[in-house]
Amino acid sequence: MATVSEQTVSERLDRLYGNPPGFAGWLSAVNHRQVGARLIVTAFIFFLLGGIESVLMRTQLAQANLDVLSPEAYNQFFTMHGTTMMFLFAVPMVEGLGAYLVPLMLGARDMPYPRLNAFGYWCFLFGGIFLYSSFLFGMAPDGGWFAYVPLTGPVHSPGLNMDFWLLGISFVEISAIIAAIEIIVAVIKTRAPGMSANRIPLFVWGELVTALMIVVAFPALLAGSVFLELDRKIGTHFYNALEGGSSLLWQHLFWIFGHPEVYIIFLPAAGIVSMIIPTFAQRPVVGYTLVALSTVAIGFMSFGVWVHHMYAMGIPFLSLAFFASASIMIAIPSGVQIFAWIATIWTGRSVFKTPFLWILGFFVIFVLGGLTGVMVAVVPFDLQVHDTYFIVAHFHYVLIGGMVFPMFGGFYYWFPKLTGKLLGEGLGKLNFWTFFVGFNLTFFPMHITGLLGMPRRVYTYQRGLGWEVLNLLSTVGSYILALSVAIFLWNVFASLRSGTPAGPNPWNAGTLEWATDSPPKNYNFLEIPTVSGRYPLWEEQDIYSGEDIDARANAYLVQPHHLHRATQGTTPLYAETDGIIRLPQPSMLPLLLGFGIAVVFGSILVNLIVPAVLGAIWSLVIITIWLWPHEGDFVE
Amino acid sequence: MSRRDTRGNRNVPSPRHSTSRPFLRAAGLIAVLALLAGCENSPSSLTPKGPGAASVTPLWWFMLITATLVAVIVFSLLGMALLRSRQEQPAERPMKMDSQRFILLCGAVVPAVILVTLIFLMLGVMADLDNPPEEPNTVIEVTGWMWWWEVRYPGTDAVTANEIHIPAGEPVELRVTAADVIHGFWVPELHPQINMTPGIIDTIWIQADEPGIYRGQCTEFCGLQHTFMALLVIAQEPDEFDAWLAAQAEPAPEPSDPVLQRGQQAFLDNQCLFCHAIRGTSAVGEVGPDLTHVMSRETLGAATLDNSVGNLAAWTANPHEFKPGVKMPAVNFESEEFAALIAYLATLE
Amino acid sequence: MSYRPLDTRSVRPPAEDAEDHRTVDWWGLIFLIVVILAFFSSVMFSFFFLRFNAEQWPPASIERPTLLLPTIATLTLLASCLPLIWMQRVLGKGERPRFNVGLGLNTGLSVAFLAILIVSLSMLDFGATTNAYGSAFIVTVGFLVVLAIAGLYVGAIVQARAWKGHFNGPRHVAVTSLSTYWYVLTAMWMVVYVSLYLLPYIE
Repeated sequence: MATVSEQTVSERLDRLYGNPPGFAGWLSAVNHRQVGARLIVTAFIFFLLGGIESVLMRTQLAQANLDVLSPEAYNQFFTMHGTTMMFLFAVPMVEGLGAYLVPLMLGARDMPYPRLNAFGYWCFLFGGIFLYSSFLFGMAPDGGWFAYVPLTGPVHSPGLNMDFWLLGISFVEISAIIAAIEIIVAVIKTRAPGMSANRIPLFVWGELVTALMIVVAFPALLAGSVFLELDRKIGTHFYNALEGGSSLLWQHLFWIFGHPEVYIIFLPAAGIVSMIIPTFAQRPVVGYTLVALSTVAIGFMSFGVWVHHMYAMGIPFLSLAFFASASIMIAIPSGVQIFAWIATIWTGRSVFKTPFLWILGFFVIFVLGGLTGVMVAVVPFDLQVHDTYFIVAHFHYVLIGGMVFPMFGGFYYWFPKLTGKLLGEGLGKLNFWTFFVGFNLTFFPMHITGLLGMPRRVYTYQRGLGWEVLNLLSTVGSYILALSVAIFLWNVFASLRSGTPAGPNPWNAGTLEWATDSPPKNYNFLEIPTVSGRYPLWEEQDIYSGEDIDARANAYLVQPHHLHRATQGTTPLYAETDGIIRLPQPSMLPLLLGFGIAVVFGSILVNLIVPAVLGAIWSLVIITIWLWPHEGDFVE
Repeated sequence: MSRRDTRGNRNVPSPRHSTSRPFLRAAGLIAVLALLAGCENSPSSLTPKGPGAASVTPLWWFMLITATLVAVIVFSLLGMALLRSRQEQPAERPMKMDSQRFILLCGAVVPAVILVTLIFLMLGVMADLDNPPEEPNTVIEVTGWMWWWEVRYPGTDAVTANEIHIPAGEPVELRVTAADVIHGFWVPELHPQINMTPGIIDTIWIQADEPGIYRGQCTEFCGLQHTFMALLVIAQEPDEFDAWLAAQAEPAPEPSDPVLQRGQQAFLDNQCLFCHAIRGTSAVGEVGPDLTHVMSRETLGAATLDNSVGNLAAWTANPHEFKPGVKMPAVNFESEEFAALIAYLATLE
Repeated sequence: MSYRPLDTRSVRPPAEDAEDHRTVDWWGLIFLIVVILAFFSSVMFSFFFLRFNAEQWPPASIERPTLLLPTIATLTLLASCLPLIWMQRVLGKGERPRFNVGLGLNTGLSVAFLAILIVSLSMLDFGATTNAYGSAFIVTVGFLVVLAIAGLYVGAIVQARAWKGHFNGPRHVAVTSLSTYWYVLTAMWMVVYVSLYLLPYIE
């Protein structure tokens, strides 16, 4: 029995967890870091597309009565801007960050269902392409991202525009639900031994609660979309008031999904904040339990506030009072998080690097957005600003402040982990300041524009109503924002070419993702780490000499003798080793199944029965192969 | 794993950016107030002209002042934390106060007190808005169409469009609904908004304290021309209003002049009558504005154009030039017929 | 640094003797069921929303659906759960032939349930496009039909694997998953049966 050197083990494992060579191998990749990186990059491309749409809209609104975009184009652009940012950017982005980072933070080799993970990515990609292909036919969705019936019903939107929307977002929602289940089970089952529930990194808490919310909230919109598509395609009457249907039903189903959606986007971003602040204050987060509990509390409360999007619908007084109070009180768990972060900074030693700067920017923007959020939860005031630019200002403060600022902070923080190179600090600060100034210049004036009576979703406005100057300011601000994003892209490009090598842990951070190489080897961790605290790298103990790990499990994982991928299985609460999770090899099945479903959706769009049936049969065959176990999966 | 000393690689930008932000904000707010005061032409919800809108503004100023205070306090705490954490001191210095207590006090207890106060203030205003100051004498039915407003006065024959005449100084009951898709009824200076939903009749009241013209605009996205769907509320002294209503209830006079007769015939011979009504003639179309007294109105095309004979002619010739995609088609008249038509319409006061 | 010499062939993966609830497959099924239940809740919410929105439900022009066939279908579905309970027990004892019989019985009863249900649907005097009641009724039942067909399809795969002898070891997550799925489906059907068929008679 020969002794095996670490080098050999590393090489073997790297090969075992790597991709097959060539383009086919690239298509069959299932590794969580590859899937995660693809989600992040694709979602960012959609962020750029949504951003281009918004800059064009701002150009149209720079002055009164401009003619840059036709009314049709403007309506398509604002619909696709909202749809893109919500469904094709924000949700895939937080799930992509989760897919990449969660296993690294948990000390796992991969996620529990790698093929499903890859399938989720293909669904997202095909769904996104499906939605954007509508522009090629001049039939981009134009009913708003909220798609209120009856405007989007068969009578008032007879074209294919809204069919593109309904089918496209349903496709993307399938992807979101899959990624969510993936993240939940990864957190429940594959944590490093010793990582009991009270030691889970707060980013992972955010991802977990978000994933649970997706699993519960997205089916509501799926159901609503199915009804609407049936109304449009076969003539059912769910939303047809003349035949006993109700347009309010759509609004309920949409906002039961739609309000949790806001927190679905925010909670992982708050998790990013909870990761970056301790690192740059060089101390553990203060009030860990409170932050984790508020995350969970926000998740629960967000399901009780959806009616605040419907105040103007003539809702009965008592029900209004209830939903308004719940919407106002949801500020409290957010407040707890804010002060936990302040206390962390207060008692730490700040290191003012770019990631930290973005988090400080987040603070300012998000607090302001939260304050206007309380205002618009107040029914009478909301009814004076509902569907005006005040609301546009408010939710951009919350969403860009609450999600995009932490995301950029996260990019600067984890870019070295993904690529091995640090992003440039100088460009990073320029990036931040242009973004901060551009953001405020764009969106702060919109508060006033709204109070002065300017409604949303108008493609132009008349002179003499006092809206010209404010709109021009917003337009200039949006150009600065665009410039800032260009600076970021340049920074990424320059740093990839000639950035400073980062090393495993450039920020002296405390969590497990920094224990591996940058970028990590295909297998993530040579041995499965054991943790005894919330910040294993700051503890005195060596993470590879813990006693919690089951020796058999670790030995199995380190010796790739079966030529099977695997990761550790641990118990849900206390993370004690209870088994080995066998993982599948790279596979084309996810792509083939995604293709089959794309054929089905495309055929439904244009009412082709035969291809739809063929696509369904194809998908069933793939599912059968997928479910059929491989030789060697069972040890007789 | 040794902890790396971070003192060496500090790279500290001026934290003044952060600490001075609250003051910048305060300056910004002052600028805001100046701006608000300067926009007298705007249909601003902050310059209420009726008790409905007026009951909301104190709530707004209370919230704005409270929010500003909260923002200043939070940002000051953040700034102080940043300043304190810059100093060369050992890491993990405890706070004077127990940190958990600090978080719960600032993050939960204080906000809860403020928010509960706010909820009670809100309920008070909601109750105010629910009930008009006195029982309304006038009932008006407003129906949203793509993309104009139909206004009826039940009990009279008066039907008008895109402007609602009301008596000043008293509440008026509005029964709002929509004919096709959801629209939003909002006159910011008078009353908070309500959505108009097909198949549902919602009731609100509005009141203008003084005679005047108050602009409103559709707030719920309703399709292609959501943008040009505005309306005017015209508050008049009660006796003026009664006179106006009586005049509006009259049918259109029968033209005696041959040119006008020709114009009326042009209206009835072409497709105009499929959509428009002119009471007193055989034109009883219901899906476009009633034109019986079209020239008595301030605007054309749901406040798209000022009303004048010239604009009426330009609009009738090609409404899509002013409101692309409007449901009214451009009709090809021969020029003489067109001139007669416009001449006829110009008499409908 | 070198690694401890380990006889790698002696290391057996611990998951092979793991209980069902310790496997990720089982957890995956749980959250799949959560998604299905969330969707189902939305469907039922919509049904009752439209119901309380309507003046009369079912509308005056429509007869209440008859109870005979749906009740027989319900009983068949409930009966199809019995072989599942039995076959899991015999599988635990390693009695493969009896397990196969149990699985076959379940499949047979499930097909009967579906057949009776579809016949009863075809005898209704309204369709999905008649009015909102018809839409809500047909789509709610249709959703259950789709779920049952999916269950039967996965059941067929499990059946094929059973004949190939995949389930003679202690590990049988696929069987547990299939039974759990079918129990949940039965529970959902009971909600539908009570809300759509019985309630108009009780009121």
